[in-house]
Amino acid sequence: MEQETEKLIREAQAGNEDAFTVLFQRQYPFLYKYLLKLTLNEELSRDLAQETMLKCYMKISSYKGESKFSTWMLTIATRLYTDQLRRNKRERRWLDEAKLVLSRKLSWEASAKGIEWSEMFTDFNRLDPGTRVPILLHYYYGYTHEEIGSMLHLKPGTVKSRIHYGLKKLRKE
Amino acid sequence: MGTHKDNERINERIRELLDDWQQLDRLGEESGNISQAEIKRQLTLFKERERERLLKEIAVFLAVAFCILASLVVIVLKAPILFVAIQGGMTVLGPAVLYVLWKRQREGSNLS
Repeated sequence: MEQETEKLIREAQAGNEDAFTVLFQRQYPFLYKYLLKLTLNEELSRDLAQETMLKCYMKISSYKGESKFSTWMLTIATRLYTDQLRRNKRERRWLDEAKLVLSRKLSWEASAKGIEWSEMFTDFNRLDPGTRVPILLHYYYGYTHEEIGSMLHLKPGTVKSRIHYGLKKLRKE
Repeated sequence: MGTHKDNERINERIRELLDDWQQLDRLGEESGNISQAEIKRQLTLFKERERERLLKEIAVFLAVAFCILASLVVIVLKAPILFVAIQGGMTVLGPAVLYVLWKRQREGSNLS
């Protein structure tokens, strides 16, 4: 699988659009689910995933293979997400509301499947994105402080302190 | 003792969060797929938009270049002396301004 991915990356870098299509289709569920955890909104996640795809398409030649392709993709997606929050204040307010609760469709699906959320989940989603993202990447995706630092353009110490601060805040709430 | 309890509490909360994220993953299972045709459609649309943007940029660039050239031609024809004075003046003034700026920058970097 890894070798096949590498082959697809090489072909996509050589300008083979079909290879890029197959590559992205395979990575899409991973990317979408990651964005879903950040936005709690399927529409927003789809939009961000689409933007990430176009960015990946434009920048595929600059991918050096120093990290996994999925990591590279998550880095782009995270930066797009945080840039969007920073740039558009109106959208930020909208996102602030959206991040507090699941979108209506997701809530409906969750209740249909009998899914219940912990209190922690609501508290976590109220955290600032700068704190939420490192916690998610570290505890769920297993990235190290150094890896998260290079993904978010932060020093590993800053990542560590943001995680610590976030957990401390969760503990208080 | 307190720290041990705190750590336990944090671990418990992280476990709860992990469960929630896994549940969210399951919810995203159905909607988290995309067809190759859709990816190709989006790429085609994107390339079309980029092409239009590029054409617009080229058009603006050509228009600006034409305006500058036309203004220069008018100046040369209507007031050639003024044109020569501006060109000659800039030949001398340009490097002088650059030198002053370079000197200031060097002094600034020496101080810091």
